[in-house]
Amino acid sequence: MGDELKSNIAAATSSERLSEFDKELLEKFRQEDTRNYAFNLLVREYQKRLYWHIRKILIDHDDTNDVLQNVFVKVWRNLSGFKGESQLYTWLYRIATNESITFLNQKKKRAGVPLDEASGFLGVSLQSDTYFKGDEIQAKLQKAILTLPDKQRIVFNMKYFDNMKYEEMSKVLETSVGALKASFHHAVKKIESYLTGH
Amino acid sequence: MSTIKNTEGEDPFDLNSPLSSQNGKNPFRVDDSYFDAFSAKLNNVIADLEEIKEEAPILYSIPKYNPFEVPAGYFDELPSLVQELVTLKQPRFSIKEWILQLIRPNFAFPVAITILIAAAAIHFIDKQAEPKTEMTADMSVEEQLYPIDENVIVDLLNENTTETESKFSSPDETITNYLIDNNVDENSLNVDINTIDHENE
Repeated sequence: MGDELKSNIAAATSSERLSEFDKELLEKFRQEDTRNYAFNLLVREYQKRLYWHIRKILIDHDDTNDVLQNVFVKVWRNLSGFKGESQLYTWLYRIATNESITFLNQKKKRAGVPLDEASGFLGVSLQSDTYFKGDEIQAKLQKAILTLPDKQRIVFNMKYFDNMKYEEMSKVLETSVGALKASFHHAVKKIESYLTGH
Repeated sequence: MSTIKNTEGEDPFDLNSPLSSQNGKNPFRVDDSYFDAFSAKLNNVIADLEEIKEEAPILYSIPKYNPFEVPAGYFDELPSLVQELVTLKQPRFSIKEWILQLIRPNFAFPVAITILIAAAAIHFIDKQAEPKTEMTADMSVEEQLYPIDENVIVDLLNENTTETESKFSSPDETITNYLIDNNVDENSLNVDINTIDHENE
């Protein structure tokens, strides 16, 4: 067996397996006397990763905070039913992504923007955001990313900023690896084109 | 003599210290597959970057960092905030928990006993109450009057008779009394009555 194949299999199996931390956490959550403790550990462990994932989708901190809290409430209600068939963070990312898209669609409805249109209107949030510390070129990059359709934008962020593997993204977004690769490729082309023209 | 101490005040060169028992072994551990996964991941990242460098040189030239910030102390406060939120939204008793609780022998047995005792008590009270009602209905007037003193009954009967008499005294007597009280002459009344009769004829 070739070295490359061997390492790919190892990587794949490690990504399928629940980590020892997650196993212990789930065990503790299932026991009533340690449930709150386990949940608190989960929040502390995953809050930053989930926050940044949601923040890149919604841009605004307050919106992100609202959605993140909803995500954790959903996790609390459904964690007992989590069977450990995927990594815990893959499951958490899926909830966070779905909640963010739902929130974004509601926001689009209120703004009278068609649901299938890019969320360019979030650029206003970006300009008025007191928690944006990027320089001019970073602001330009973020505006370029906001011209992408929402799902493509999520794919781009997960791949470009979070260095997530396509296989993991496929589980989170329930999309084939091939479609994700194509989506990322198109996203890169569009962003480059925006940066060249502005 | 060694003067090096760790934070616990232990001398690592002391043969009896916990640190010396490590015998130079690395105390840290990682998953067996960690290094394989790490190199695979690193290769993927490098390959992606190379691809971006070729396809999108401007994007590649922009420093890759997170330009967003959070309010100070946000991640320190969030866990307790979330904990409060889930405690508030937590239903006090779910139907499932109720059913499970009812099935448990240490709960189900006393509940069953209590229900049985309550049912038996209700049945007993009903039995006690039923004959009393029937007996009252079936008893004769004489039987019902038996425990009451005879004098009391006589007095009551006398009182009732007087009242009845005064209420239903003859109408003639009442009219006479009225005429006397109002000083009306009986003869003059007779004259008046005769006049009315003649007029009618």
